[in-house]
Amino acid sequence: MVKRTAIFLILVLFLFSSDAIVRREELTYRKVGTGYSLEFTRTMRRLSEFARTYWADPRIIVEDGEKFAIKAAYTVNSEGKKIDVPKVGIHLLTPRGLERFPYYSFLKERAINFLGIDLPSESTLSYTLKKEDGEIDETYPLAEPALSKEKTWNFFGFHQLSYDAPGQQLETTNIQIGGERGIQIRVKNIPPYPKEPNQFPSPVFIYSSREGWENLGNEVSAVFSQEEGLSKNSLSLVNAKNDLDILPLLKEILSLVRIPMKYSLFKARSGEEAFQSRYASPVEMVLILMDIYDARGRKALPFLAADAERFSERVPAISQFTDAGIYLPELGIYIDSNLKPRRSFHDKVLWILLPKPHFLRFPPLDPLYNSIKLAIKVNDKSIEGKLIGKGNFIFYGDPKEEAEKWLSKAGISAKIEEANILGNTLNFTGKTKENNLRILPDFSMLPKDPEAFSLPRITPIWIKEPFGVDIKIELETSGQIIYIPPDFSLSNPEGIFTLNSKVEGKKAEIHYRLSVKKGLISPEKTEALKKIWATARDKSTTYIIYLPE
Amino acid sequence: MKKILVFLLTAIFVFPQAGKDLKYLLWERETEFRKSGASFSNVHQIINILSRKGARKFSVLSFIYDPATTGLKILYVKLRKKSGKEISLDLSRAKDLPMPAGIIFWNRRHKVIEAKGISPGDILDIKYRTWGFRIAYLENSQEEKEIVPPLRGHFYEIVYLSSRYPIKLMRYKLWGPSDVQLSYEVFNGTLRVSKMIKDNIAYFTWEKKDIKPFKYEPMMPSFSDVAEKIIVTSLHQWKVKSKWFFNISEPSLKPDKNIRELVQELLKGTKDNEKKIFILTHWVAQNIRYLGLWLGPNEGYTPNPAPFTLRARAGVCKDKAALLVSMLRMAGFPAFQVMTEAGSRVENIVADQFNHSVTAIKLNSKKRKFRLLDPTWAPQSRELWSSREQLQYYLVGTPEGEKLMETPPFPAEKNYLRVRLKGKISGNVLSGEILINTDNHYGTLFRRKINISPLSMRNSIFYRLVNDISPFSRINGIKKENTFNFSKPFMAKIKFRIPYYLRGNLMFSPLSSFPPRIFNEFLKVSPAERKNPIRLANTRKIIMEEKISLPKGLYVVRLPKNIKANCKEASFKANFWKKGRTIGAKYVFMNNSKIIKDIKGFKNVIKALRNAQVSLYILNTGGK
Repeated sequence: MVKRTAIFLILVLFLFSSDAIVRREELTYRKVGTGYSLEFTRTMRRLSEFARTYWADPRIIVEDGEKFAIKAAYTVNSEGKKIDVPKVGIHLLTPRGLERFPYYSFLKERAINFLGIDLPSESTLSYTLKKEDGEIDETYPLAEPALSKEKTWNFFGFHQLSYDAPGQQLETTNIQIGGERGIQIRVKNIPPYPKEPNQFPSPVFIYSSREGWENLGNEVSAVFSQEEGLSKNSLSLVNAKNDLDILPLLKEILSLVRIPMKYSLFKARSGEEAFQSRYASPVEMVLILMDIYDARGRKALPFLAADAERFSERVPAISQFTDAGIYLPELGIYIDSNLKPRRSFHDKVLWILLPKPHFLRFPPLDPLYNSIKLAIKVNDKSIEGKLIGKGNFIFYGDPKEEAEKWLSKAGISAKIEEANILGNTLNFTGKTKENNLRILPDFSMLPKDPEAFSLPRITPIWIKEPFGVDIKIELETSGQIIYIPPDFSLSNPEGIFTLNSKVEGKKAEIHYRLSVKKGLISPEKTEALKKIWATARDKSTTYIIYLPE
Repeated sequence: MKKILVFLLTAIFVFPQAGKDLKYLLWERETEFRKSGASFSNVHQIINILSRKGARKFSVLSFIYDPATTGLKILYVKLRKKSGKEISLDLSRAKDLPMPAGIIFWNRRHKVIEAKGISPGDILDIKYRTWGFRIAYLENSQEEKEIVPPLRGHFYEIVYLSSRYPIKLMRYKLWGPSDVQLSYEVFNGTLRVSKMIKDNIAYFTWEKKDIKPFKYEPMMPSFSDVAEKIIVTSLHQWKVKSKWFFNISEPSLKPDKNIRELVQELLKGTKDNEKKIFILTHWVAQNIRYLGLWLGPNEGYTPNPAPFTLRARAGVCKDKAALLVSMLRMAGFPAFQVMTEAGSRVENIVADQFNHSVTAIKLNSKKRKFRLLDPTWAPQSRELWSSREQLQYYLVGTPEGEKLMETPPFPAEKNYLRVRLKGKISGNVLSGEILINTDNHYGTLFRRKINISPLSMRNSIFYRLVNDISPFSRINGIKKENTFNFSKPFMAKIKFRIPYYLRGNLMFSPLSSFPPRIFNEFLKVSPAERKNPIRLANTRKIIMEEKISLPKGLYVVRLPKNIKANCKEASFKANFWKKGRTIGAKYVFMNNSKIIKDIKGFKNVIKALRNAQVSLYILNTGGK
C-alpha cells in the first residue's frame, strides 16, 4: 500500500513537472516474406510552451524503397476540436547533415507539422512502414523528456526474437489478435528523462530478429575484409612521419557522415571510393584507416563501439553500436571515427571484429589513469614547461598547435615558439600573449560540465570516465603578487583535491591536484562530489593574481 | 521577404565560408532581362584549389534553388587536374534532392554533383544557368521559360562583389531592351561600369580585378551592409512597390466567422484602444507558432489567408502579421501589412531588400504616420514593437502608396536592467538577496529563458547567475512575477547563501562576477584591429548595485579602484564605497546606439568592464 501510494505521488509530481505526456505509443511488427511491416501509433498531450515549441513536428527517417503511409495525423485542441494535418503539413526532406553527401541520399526524412496546437492539446500520429527485405534491429528510446504512460510492442510471425531493456522491468505476454499469435511487451509509467549535462545514458529497449552474434559477426566481419586498398595517389595525400600524425591530415581531407550504424555497415562503399568522394561514414572511415595503416606496415583491427551502460549481449543487434574504429595492437592505441586516438574506452563495449569477433570491456581504473600534468614557469613575458599526458591524454600532430591548445584549455594564453612531442610528453617555450592580471587555469580540459552541478536536476550525475589533473605553476613577475592561496586539501569518497603554494618575494609556486572517480552519483553523494568540483573550480580559477608593473 | 533568404542560401556555393584554401580566378554573372521583367543568368566560376580543406569544401558541388520561383541547370563542371588532364563531370550523375528544413517548409531543393578525387592544385571550372525570380510565380518546371514576376515588367538584381576568398576577376554583365530605364548603384565601394547600346539592346558591364578576401569580424554589421554590391532595378518609386504589396496582401486579410468571434471574445468589455492593441498583438504573438507552410506558388511574398493561419495556429512573420491586420481591422483599426528588413540596411534604391513582415496601424492620414507592431518578435515579450528593431527601414503597403520609412531610435534608459544585491558577511559566509528589475530588452530575454524552457529548468537562469558569483552558491528561494503576465515589467528576487566566500583577506565584489553573463555580448569584442563598426543587439542601460554589511572586527583595508571609461556611444563606470561597516559598489553601463563607430573608445569601455571583473576588497584578516 505504501509502495503504491509512493508511486502514485511520484507520478503526480511528474505530471506537474512534465512538459508533455505520451499517453500511448504502440508498435506492431509483422513478419512479411523476407521483410517485415511496422504499424506505429503515438498520442502525445502537450502541456507547456516548451512542448508546443519543440515537440510539434515529428520526423521519421525512411530509406528509399521502404513503403511509408500515414494512416492518421491530427490534433485535438483544447476545445476538443479535431484538426487533421493537411497535405501541406507532410514533407519529404533530406535529413539535416546529409545534404552534402549525395551517396547517402537514399535516406529521407518525413516531417509532419501538427496544426492547431494550443495548450493543452493532444496529437496522434499513426503510420505504416513496410520493408521488403531485412531483419528487425532496433535500439529504441524507452524514456524521453516527456512522461510516458504506456509503451507497447507487438510482434507477430517471428521465429527468432530477442529483446532486453537493461535495468528496466518489461511485462511480456502471449497475445492472440484475430487468429494471429504473437508476443506483447509493455512498459508503463516511464518517468521523464529530460536532457541534462553529465547524464547516465537514458534507458532503451533493444530488440532484434537476427539469429545470433556468431552469424552477425561473420556478416559484419566480411564488410571489413575487403582486399582492394587505397590507391597510391590517395595514400600520398596522407603521408606523415609519425603514425598518429596522419589523423589531422585525414581530418582535413574527409568529412565524417553520421548515420545509423546499420546503414554505415551494410551500405559502405570501398575505402578508395569513399576517399575519392572526400566524405566517409564511420565504417568507411575505418576501411580507410585500415588501408592507410596496412600500407605503413601496421596491423589495424576494426571494431564497433556500444555504450557500455546499456549494451545487452542477449540481443544480437547492430543498432546497439554507435561508432566504429580501429585498434592498433603494436601501439596500444584505439582510434574512433572522429579520428581521436585513445588508450581505452571505459564507457564503451568494443566488438573487435578481426581476426575473430569478440567483445572487449575495460576494467575499472584508478582516477588518475586519465590525467594531465602541466608544469610551467611563467613570467610577464615568457612561458616554458611541459605537459605529460596519461591514459587518454595523447599528444599528436603539430606540437606548437597542441601546446597552445592545451594551455588555452588551462586558461593560459601564449604564443608557442618551440615545441616537441616525445612519447607522452610535450615540451614547449613561448611568450605569454598579454600581461596577465591573473592566471586562470581551470579544468575545462576535463570531461565535465559545470552546469551538471549548478542546476537543479531530475536525473543523477554520471561521471563516465575517471579523470585527474596535476598542475604545477611557477610564477615570476616584475610586478606585484597580490595573493596566492593557502595550502588546502579536501578528500571524500568521490574525489580528492589538494593545493600547495609557496611565495618568495616576486616568485610564487602553486601546485594543485584533482582526481575524481567514475560512476553514477546518487543524490546523497552529489553534495560530496559538488564540493570537490566547486573547491577545485573556485580555487584554481581565482586565486593566483599578480599585477605586472 | 523570401528573396534575400533564397539568395543567401544559393550563395552558400558561390561564397564559401572561411579559410585561405582556394582562389577564384573568375567569377562572372551574365544576366539578360526582358520587358516582362523576366531574366536569365549564366554564372561562370573558375576556382583554384589550394589546400586539402579547399578540396574537401568543393568535393560536393551544391546548387540550391527554389522550384517555386527559379529554375537551375548545370551547364558543365570541369576538373583540370594538376597534371594537366581535364575531366568533364558526367552531369547525368547530378542528383536533384530536397533540402533539409527546420521550421520553414518551402520546398527548397538543390542539385548536387560530386567532384571525385579533387585535390590541392586542381582547377574547377563551373558554369550554370538560372532563370526566374526570387519573388515570382513559377510552375514547378525545369524547362527554361520566361516567367513573369508578380510586379509585372520590373526587373531587379543584387550582385555582391565580395567573397571570403580572393577573386582575380569579377565581372557582371547585364543586357536588355534599351527603352527600359534602369537605376543602378554600387554600394560600399567603387566600380567601373561601361554601357553600350546596339540594336535597341543596352549592354552594361561592371568589372573588378584582384578582390581581396572579405574578412568577417565578430559583431560586425550584416554582410549586405558592408560588402561591396551592385543593385540594379527598373522600378523607381517606393510608392509603386507599396501599392503592389497592398494589392497582393489584401485578399489574405479577409476575416471569417472565427476571426470575428475571436476578436469579439478577446475584446469583450475593453474600451481603451491601447488595451485593445495590446490584447490582440499578444494573442497573435503567443498563440500562433512560427512555422512556414507552402500553400502554393505565391508562397514567400504573399501572406497565407488569415483564417487559415488562425485555424492552423501557425505561420511565419507575414502570416502572423496578416492575421493581426485582419483582427485589428475587425476591431476598427486602420491596419496594414508591412515589409521590413530586420538586421540590415535597405538601400534607397527600389529593389526588393526585405526579409521580414510586420503590422502597421495608420495614426494620421495626412502626415502618413504609422505605428508598428511585430507579432513575430513579441512572443514572451512586453514589447509590441521590439526595441531591437530600432532604426530599421520599412515600407507599408497601402492603396495610396507610401515612401520608405525608418523606425526611431530607442532610448537606452527604457531598456533598463537593475540588479541590487543586499548581503551580509557572517564568518566566511555571504548571504542575502538579489533583486532584478528589468523591462523591454532584458525583460524579454529573461521571459524567454524562463517560458520556453522545460518546466524542470525554468529557474535555471537564476541558478546560473548566482553560480557565477561562486560555485558554492545556494539558492534559498526565488520569487518572481508571473512571466506570462505582460502588463508588468519583469521582477525577480533571489535569496542566496554562499559558504567559503572570503578568500583569506580578499573578497571579490559579488556583482563583479556578473559581467560574463550579462555583458557576454560585449566581451566577445576582441582587442584586435577591425575595419567595420560594431553592431550590438540593442541600446541599454545596466545598473548593478551591491551593499554588504561586515561583522564586527572585520573592516576594509582597501577598496577596489574606481573605474570609468566612455566613448561616443557607450560608457561604463564602477564606484566603490564604504560607510561604517558597510561596503558597496555601483556599476553602470550604457550604450545609446546599436552601432558603435568609436571602436577605440569602445575597446576602452570593454577593457574597463574586464578590469571590473577582478574587483577585490582587501580586508583586515586571513590570507598568506
